Amino acid sequence: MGAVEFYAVTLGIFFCIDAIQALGFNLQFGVAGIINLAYILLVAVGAYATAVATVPPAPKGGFETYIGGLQLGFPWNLLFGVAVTAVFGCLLGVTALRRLRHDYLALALVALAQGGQIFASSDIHFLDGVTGMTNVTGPFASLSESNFDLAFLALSFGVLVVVYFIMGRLTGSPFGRALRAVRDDEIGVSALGKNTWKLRFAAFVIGAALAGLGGGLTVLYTGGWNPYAWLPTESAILLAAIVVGGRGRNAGAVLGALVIMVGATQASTYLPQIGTAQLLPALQTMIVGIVVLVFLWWRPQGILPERKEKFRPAQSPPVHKVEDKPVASVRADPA
Amino acid sequence: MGLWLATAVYGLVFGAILAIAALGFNLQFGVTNYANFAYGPMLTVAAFMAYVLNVAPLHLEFWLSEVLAVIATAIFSLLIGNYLFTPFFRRRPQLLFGLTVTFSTAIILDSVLVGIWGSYVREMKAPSGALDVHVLGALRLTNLDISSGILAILVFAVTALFLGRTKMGKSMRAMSDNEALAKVCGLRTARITSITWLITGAMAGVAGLADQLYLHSFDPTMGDQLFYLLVAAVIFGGIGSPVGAIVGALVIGLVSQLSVLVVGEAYSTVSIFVVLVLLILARPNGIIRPRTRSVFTTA
Repeated sequence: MGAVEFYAVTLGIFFCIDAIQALGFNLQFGVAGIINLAYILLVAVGAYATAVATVPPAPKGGFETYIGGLQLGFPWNLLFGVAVTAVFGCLLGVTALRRLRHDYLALALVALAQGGQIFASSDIHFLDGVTGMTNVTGPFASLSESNFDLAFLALSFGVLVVVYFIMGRLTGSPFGRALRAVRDDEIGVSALGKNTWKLRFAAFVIGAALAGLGGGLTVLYTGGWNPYAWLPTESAILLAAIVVGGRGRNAGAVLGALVIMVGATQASTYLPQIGTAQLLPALQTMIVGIVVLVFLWWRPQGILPERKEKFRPAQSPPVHKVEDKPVASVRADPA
Repeated sequence: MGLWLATAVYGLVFGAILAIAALGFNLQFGVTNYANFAYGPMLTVAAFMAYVLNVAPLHLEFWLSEVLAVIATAIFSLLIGNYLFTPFFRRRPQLLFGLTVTFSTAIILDSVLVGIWGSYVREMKAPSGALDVHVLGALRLTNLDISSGILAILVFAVTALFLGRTKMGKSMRAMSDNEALAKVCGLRTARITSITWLITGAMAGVAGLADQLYLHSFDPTMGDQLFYLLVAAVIFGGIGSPVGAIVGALVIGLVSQLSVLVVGEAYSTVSIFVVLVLLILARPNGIIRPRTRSVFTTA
């Protein structure tokens, strides 16, 4: 496989993984209205959990120290990662999501992500600190390099298709409608008797599971994960994907993943290297932030807006000619 | 002085710096009704402005650069608040948009700082004599620590007087309490909001500079690292209460230092979050219950 095909396959894999994460974030942010600006924390939990499930226990006296080391094979390591992230999402749900007002929740989640990153970097024994997890062997490890990439592309694309289908059914279902109603008018929905916390909690945990799935797939593909992979700017990139692609719409999330996460991040590699080595990534992040502001000002619904609900009109009752009827009629009015 | 007491004093010193920042954040939050994620980067902006004035490329005298940096941060906060945030909050008043706007602005500010100055760690030298140590048993306090504490107390006192006695302060409290009613009473809310951006920008400047000197070295993530502790302090201290913000910051400062003694340095971050989570479960409205007839209450 030539260099161009290899590049295209790599892009394709990242697109699939990014789309899965975007779909999860869309469920939380776009459909349920949970302002989780620290989604990357959930991705990181999934990545670390999958890594810890895959590698052997840390050798004593070695240069890597971390917890766990379960040496599970595929797909158990990935499922372990998803499960751990879902449990983490549950913990966050019963504490922060339940008790805090929306803006305090946003603050707390951002603080948690920042603090979590600092903790993961500083504590060597937890997850190997700044170096992070390395040598995570993915599935298909026995295949040649180019076959590994193709196989992984098939795997991630397959997972994306399944996730997209499930998300589509979920958001079109009464559950999805209830979530959107909670997003738009929480007081009204709870006045109608729905348990708004349970709805948001479910959306949060499902979104967390998808984040774990995305993180796990990333670590299985790239073979490693360290604190630099989950800077707050990553959350901003996900945010841009949803805001640009289409808030609340699954196709929009996938489009956003393509345009922002793959498109924008790859476009910067084609620019000439100007200034310091850090100028271009910083410029790229700045442009992502500006794009979000521009879209929020002019087109907050994104490129693919949410579909308006169409309700079939009720069957209109048959028309009676008033002149035919006697004045006092006992015929029941079918309307 | 025993080790625990000395550590507690260090915690109070750091907490005092954090409290200046938390107070500014809380005032902004009260008046504008939006949490401003760009407050963290604002602290870093202050630090870099002082660096530019004092170290490179200008070489102004230390105290002059500090004062100019505070003024510059205040003006910068006013510009961002008045010309970016206020139009956005008016056009897209939903909470989701407001928070996303401030978050994106924070990201933009951070990336501008990294783009211009890179993510290198730089040094900011305090003037000579600042690091003279006063020893009292296990306690070793520098002049800088003592001055930071005194500065914090000054800021709190001035803010208390301002909020309680001046007309603008009372207007700000009125706006925090009920913006619509304030407008009905004839208060010019746009002007009050502008003044708020200016004053809290100055507070961010003071806090950022104090933190920069406290740490001796700084990088573009300095403000963000302070911001997450600030958030913990504000949630701890309670919704909308300036006194709560101060108390919360002091407690977070104490916990951050004392936890090093209890669980070791690497886990001190975790201990802050454990305390926070327990607090969210037990008292989600914060530790301080706002009294309705106090000088300080804005909620």
